Amino acid sequence: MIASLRRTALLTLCLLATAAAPLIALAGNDSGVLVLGRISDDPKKHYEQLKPLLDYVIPRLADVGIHEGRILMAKDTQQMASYLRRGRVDWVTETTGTAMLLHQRAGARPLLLTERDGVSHYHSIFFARRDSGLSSLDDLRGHSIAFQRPNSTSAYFVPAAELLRRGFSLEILLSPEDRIERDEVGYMFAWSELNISTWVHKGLADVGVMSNLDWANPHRMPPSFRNDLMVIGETVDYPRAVEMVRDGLDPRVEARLREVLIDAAGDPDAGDALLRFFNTTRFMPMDPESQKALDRISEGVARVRAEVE
Amino acid sequence: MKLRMGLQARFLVLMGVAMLVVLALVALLLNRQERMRNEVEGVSRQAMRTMVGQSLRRQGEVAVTQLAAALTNPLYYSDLDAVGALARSALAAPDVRYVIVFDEEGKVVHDGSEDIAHYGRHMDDAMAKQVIAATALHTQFDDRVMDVSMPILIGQERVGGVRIGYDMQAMRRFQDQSVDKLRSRLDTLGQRHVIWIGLLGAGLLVFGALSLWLIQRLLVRPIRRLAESAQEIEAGHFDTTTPADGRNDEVGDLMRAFDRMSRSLARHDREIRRMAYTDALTGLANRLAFREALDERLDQSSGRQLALLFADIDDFKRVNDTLGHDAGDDVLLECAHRIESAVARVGGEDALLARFGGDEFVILVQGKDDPLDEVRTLATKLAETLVVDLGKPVEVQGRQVFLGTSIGITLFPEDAASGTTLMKNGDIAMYQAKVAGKNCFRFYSRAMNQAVERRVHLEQELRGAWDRGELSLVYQPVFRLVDGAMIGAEALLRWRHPELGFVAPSVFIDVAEQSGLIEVLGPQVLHAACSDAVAWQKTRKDPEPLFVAVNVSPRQLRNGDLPNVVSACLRDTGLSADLLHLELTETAVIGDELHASALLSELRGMGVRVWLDDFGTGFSGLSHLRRVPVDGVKIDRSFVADVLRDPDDLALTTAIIAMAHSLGILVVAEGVEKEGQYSILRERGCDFAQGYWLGHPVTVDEFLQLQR
Repeated sequence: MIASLRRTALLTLCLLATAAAPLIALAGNDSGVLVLGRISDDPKKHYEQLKPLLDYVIPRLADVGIHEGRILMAKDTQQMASYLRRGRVDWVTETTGTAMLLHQRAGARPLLLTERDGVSHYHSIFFARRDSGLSSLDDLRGHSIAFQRPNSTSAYFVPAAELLRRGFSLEILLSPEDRIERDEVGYMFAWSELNISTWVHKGLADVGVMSNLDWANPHRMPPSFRNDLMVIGETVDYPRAVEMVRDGLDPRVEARLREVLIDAAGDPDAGDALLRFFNTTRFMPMDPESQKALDRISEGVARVRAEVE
Repeated sequence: MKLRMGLQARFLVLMGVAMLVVLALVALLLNRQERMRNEVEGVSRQAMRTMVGQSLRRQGEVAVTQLAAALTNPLYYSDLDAVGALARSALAAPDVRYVIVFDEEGKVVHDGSEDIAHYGRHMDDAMAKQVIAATALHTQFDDRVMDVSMPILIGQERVGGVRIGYDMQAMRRFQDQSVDKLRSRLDTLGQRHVIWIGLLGAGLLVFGALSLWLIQRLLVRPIRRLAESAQEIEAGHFDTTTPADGRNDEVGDLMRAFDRMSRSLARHDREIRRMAYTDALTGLANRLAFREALDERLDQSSGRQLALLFADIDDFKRVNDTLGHDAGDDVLLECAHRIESAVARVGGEDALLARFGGDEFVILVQGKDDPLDEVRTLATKLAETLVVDLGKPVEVQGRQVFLGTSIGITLFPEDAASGTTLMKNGDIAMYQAKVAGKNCFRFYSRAMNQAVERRVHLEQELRGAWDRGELSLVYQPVFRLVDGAMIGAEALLRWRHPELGFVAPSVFIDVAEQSGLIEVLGPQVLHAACSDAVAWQKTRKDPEPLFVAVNVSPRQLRNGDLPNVVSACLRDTGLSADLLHLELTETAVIGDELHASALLSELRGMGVRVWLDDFGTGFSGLSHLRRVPVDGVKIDRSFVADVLRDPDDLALTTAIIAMAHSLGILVVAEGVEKEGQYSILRERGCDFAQGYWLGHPVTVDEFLQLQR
């Protein structure tokens, strides 16, 4: 496993090292190529998920001068932001939090809302053990909370922003055993939803947070745990995912891409490609409500980055 | 059936013993095999336990070591998700009963379950203490599990540990399964062995049966057949055969040799039978054969009448004596031939003829199932025919010999019931025929039997009669014809029995002669006569001495002891030898001429005179007188009796006298009962005479009176 991981990483590095130069040279304003980007820790797997939709889209962009599609994956947000800033990636699909981060850092703009598994919007749920004595988010002071990871929308950006908005100050804990000062809220990354649920159930963390989808998922929230847990707070709904385009993309291309993607839901030829594309069921035009939600998340993300990290 | 240890039985026993030995060996083999199997199983189980235990331990230790390494970071960060995934993957390994990840205090962090029910609980099982205390890889066992634990360290700091429990029972099950598999393989192998051994045993059985069959066929059956044949031969059935069936081996040789032997035995048996049952001269059945046939007939003849004819050729001995044995044989053959043809003509179908030796023939005739008269008539007819046929002269050596036959007939069952008695009866009847004058036949009657019994009684009485003084000598004077002077006397024996009275000399002399008593009586008579003669000489006034004439029987002569007896008498009595005249019958002398001549010469050499008695009745003729040294002849009384009436007898007597004189020997006439006879004998020159007319026999005392 370790060896395999190591090999994959090495392969990725090589790919990046060798592919970077020509990609960089060809990208940019060369209007003949559309580059689809993705932040990935598993480029090999994600390539297969991205390629079918790209292949579906490219022929349909011929009339706006696009005759070739490419995929470029970044290791993290910073790298993707860099690609977007330099015009190396034209189109990125991301969850809301990360999308807003890219917006702030690289000026990327939301193109469409993405509905996955028939869910276009969701929210985060705070929970604690029934016997913890915690019944609402207001009781959180002096307690610890388990987030997933620093780039998680539903289990970090949105709930952390919610806590900041409620006036809590967040302090990172070195380990679950670490205790927090009385008027602060200690947080830690559990790195997986199952860890969050386990930590809360086993008392390593006082509160956990995850999306309502994960809360309903028995693999992430075992029913036996959930019976012992109770919801102590929820956030408002926010979009599930967002298609972003870089700033400066040819408006004709952008418009044509929006058109093609919106139509894809009704096109039988696109069915398989959509399904492969992270279980996407349809693309939706931005509506004001969603825009507001995006804006709030953007604000929250900015605050989290400023106050927490 | 008597049980016995035959060849086959022996071989069966041998086979049985061999089979038992083989079975015992097989049982031993199987037992050894079973033990070996158990040992192999035990060793294998031990080896497997060790091997599996070591393997499991190694496997467990490797797994725990790897797991501990993988768990270090997740545990450090309390990444229960990752810890759980690792624990679950470890738990998924076969035979793992539990995986427990624990913290530095020994509290459960994860056990691979979804809900981690024991989370935070202090491990308190029996092995927990050692597990928590261990600072390195640690393995411990109990009956059910092998617990392998490893502390998880970061640098020198201990952050917890992991332990995996391996199911020993599963291991044991696996081990049992493996051993069972081994066992079943061994069993299969053993079964194959058993099959092979079974096949071997069956093969041995088949081989034994085949051997038995072969031995039965090659040895036992022929030997049994030989034994059966031998029993057949033993029972007298010589015509048994033992076919060798074309066999070319030793048994075949034996059987062929046996066959040849039995054939040879049969041939010899036939030969012996022939010799035993036939008469060599005539080829007729002999006494033995006849006797067996007779007994057989007697057994079979239920109500049938039988007649037994005993035929004896009259005077046959005379032929033998005078013409020689070859002539005798010729005569016998001719007689046999005549009898045979007579029997064939008259005797009926079932008639049986046999020669009993000598001149005796026996014929058995059988009547039909008719009255007794039938067989009597048949026997009479046959006897008459035989008498006639045998009465005809027989031509032998160019001469005609006149013979006759005397036949005794006895009837069954009238006369006797047994063969032995019948034969005796036949003999008696035949004897009676002889007595009756020969050349005739007589039927047996009980009276005859009485005669024979009387004869036997006489013989018994005669024995010892001399000693009892019943026998006495009388003397008949002999006169010289020339001057009428008495010159001697013939001693004659008289028997006066206290009950029977006077017994005729012809009767008792014959009895004495036949029974051999004469050999005792003879010397006594001789001695007495000599003594008496000496007495005469003493009382006699006339100076001319008187001789005494004593009859000597043929039997005495044949004895050969006669000269010694005579000389002893002469010596004892002191009688002068020339006063003793011995009278011998012509036939006695002629019987064995050479021997008789020698004896007579010896006697005459002593001075004793020898006279030939009954001269003229025999066949010898005068020519014999030349060869036999005698001093005189005694003309038979039959000639003398008719000398006055029959000119032939007178001529014969005259001739005898003349011939004797010409040979220089004297002539005595006996039976002179008339004066005329005396005169004519004197006229013809006869030397001496005796007879009633001259003087009756008188006792010695009366004779002595005559001398005075």
